[in-house]
Amino acid sequence: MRCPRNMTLLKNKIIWKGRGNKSPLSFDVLIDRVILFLVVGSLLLFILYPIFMVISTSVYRHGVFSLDNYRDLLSPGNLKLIKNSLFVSTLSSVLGTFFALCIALYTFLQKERIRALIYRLLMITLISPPFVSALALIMLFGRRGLITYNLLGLSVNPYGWQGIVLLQTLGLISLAAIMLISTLNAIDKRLILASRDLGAGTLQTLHRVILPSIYPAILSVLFLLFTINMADFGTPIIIGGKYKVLATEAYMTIFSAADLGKAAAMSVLLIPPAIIAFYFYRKNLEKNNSLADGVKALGGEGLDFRLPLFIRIALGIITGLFFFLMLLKYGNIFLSAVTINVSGKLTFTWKHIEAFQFAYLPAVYRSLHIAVIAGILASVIGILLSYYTHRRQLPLMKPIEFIASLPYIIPGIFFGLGYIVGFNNHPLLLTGTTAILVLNCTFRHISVGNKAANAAFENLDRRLEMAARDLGASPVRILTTVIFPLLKSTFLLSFINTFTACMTTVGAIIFLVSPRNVVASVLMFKDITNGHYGLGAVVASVLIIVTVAVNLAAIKYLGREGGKQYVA
Amino acid sequence: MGIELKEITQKYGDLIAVNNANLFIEDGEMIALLGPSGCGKTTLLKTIAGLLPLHQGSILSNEKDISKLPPQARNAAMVFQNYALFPHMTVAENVAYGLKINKCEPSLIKKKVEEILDKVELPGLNQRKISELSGGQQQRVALARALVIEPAMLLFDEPLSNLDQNLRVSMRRMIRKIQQEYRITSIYVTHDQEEAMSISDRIVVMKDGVIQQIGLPGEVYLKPRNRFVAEFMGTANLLELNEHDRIIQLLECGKWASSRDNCPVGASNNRQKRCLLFRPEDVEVGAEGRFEGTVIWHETIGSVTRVTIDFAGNEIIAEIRNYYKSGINCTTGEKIRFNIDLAGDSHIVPN
Repeated sequence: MRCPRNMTLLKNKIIWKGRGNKSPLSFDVLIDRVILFLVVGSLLLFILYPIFMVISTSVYRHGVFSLDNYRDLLSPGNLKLIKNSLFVSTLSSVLGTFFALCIALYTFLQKERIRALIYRLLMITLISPPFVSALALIMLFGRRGLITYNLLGLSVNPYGWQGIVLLQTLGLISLAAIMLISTLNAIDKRLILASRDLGAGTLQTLHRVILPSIYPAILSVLFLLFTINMADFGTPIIIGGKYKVLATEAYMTIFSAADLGKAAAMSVLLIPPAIIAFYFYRKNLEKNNSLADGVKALGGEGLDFRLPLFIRIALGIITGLFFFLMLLKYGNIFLSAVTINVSGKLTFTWKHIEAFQFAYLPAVYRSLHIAVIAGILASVIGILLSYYTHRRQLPLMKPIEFIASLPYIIPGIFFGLGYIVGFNNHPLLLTGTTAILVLNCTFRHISVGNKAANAAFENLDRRLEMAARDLGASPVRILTTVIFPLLKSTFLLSFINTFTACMTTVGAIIFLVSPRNVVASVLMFKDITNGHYGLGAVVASVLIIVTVAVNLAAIKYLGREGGKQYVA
Repeated sequence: MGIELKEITQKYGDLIAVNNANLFIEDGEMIALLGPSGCGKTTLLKTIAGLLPLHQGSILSNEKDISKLPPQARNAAMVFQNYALFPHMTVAENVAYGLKINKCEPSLIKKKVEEILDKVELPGLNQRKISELSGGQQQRVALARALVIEPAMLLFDEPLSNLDQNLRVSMRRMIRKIQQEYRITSIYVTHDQEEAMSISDRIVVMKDGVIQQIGLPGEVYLKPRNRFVAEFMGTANLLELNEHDRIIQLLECGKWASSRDNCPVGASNNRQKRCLLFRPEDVEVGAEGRFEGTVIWHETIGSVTRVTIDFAGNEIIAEIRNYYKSGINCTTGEKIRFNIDLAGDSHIVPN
């Protein structure tokens, strides 16, 4: 028997305050407070403060309040940039969402084994250092491209907005498809069966039941892609040629003109689409929860749901083509790492690898170092944040949790800029250190661990904590003996996400590196922009191999742990 | 440890979950808190455990106020409905948890864990994972985990509701035996009247946060204080009483006459509506019965058959033992004759 639903939440709220609570526990209570203080304090210092600093920089010029930076943005030249950004991002997002939806639908209707395979491939293709696609495009389809020039004898110009759209579209399909597949899997299969049972054909069911069910997810994916594309400066720099967008200009303003105020104003402009994307994302989550309420979703298997042949073929071709392009991309990277193209003839060479060994190994180690530390820190803080916000339901934690989600929403360029202007003076002088990279990577990804922990806590019976408490455990003991052991999978999931992102990211940290603390992904970016494709390819290969290996190990471990359900 | 609850009131926002509860539990006694969903019994239990802060009133243990002590300091152990076993620990680790937290010697922990697992009839399962246990085994681990810290008070939150019927019966016997052996003061929350009657020394019936009646199991069954208790404790036939009612006249010429002197119906000036209570086992079906009704439903549940009879517009439920051998015809729509045995003296309950 359960008490009425509306009482459950309050009833299960665990109260730790024991006013008659003297002796041995007070030390534990103190530790508990210290942990809480560290979590909240670090979030305020390393997230809220830099964000505030960017906004403040954008509205001050020479120490006086002024909106000149924004007024300058409205000059005809800049308006053109904004227009370009909007055009390219919209097109790439729509195309990306469409193809992702095709792949997701195709996957959803496959047998379990194929579905798992496609899902894994998508997970792997998620791991791609930025600009690797650009590199592949230039090397395969460029003016002297392996395929266009060597094979077909054409000289194609890949530079321009078409190149940007192509790469941005391809670059985010994996992410979008994974999100959509999750939503499709969450649909109550009985709805589909009911629709079929009531006489609807498969196409009608797709049109009237399946697509409406995932509509919010489609919107949220669309806006997410839009946000990422708006903030993407790397692709346009490499492949855009003369075609300039807002993010590129912000990047150039920081590097060449060092006009932080103008760059700050530009990155503030990137915020509104991000907020809209986040709004849809949250809405989608809510809807998703109600869809999956109490239903064990098991993909489309056993559904006997076959779309008309021509649609199936079309979906299959799109999916196949996507993976073929991915294969080309990764193949090209590995190939470019060990070959050199001498007047249209590919020759094997150790040259790039030797150069890499000579100069780049410390940077790779540093990348690993940073990614591991950031992965651990971000996961621990994310889980603790979720614990204090949702488990202990301490006051004022909800806004703190929102602050923690900001770096995930705002463009990387914005967050990186925040660290430049926020931490370049005593007593917060961190510029040029490895610490600033670790902090930036950590606090950029708190949100992932936090969201994962929120979901895990939803499924974790509160009575486990009550039982521990009843048996005499203090809050800190409960954390170490019950909560953390049970959230091992959550921790790993969050760690892997953060680790992968930190290994491959360039966006936020490119402004924070100096020759002293340079990391592999930034070196690769510089090599590619400088035309050292072979060396860039070696770095990319190393990054891909390391990250994929760590991911596979984690997936294997999670698969093993996955059998254990810590659910009431 | 004797426990006294004084004027306890618990609220969730505006909702009053427990309203002015007073209860004294003797040392070594087992009390059942019985009531339907949302009656406040689990809230009361958690309040006693210290898992919910007390809103109003006080909890005394051996005349010492423990209302403000944290749960760890109350020396109470709880057995949860879904067992709340730690899934990442083995059976032995689960049982040892409370001992480890309280910093016992490892050798002592080992000894005690083995002792207690023997006691709950789970020897040799120490190293099993929780997910490898059946529901009944999990329940016994939960019981062992609570017992091993030698609590002064055991709190049960519907511990058997996830088990099947047969297992429930054997488990409640085990719980009762262990409780009596150790003489641990216990509170047992349940919504199953059969379980409450079979396991406890006294029953506390609750409804809408208010204690309706406290009494021995037989007392609560035979002499319910009001209509709610009467209906919650088993099946009840309740006829609304009214001086001009035909039913009374009908009953008066029946067996009623023999016990009417004990009955305050006629004498009372109290305008509160009252009911005449009799249990299905008080109705004797047979050709020589004084009353006649019409069968509207009948169902055989093993040893007894329940017949619902329409009696002058009222539904009466009767029980027939050995129906198949009795020669009684209970076909729906048939007339049936019966007597009502009203030998007791407390058959009138407020409506």
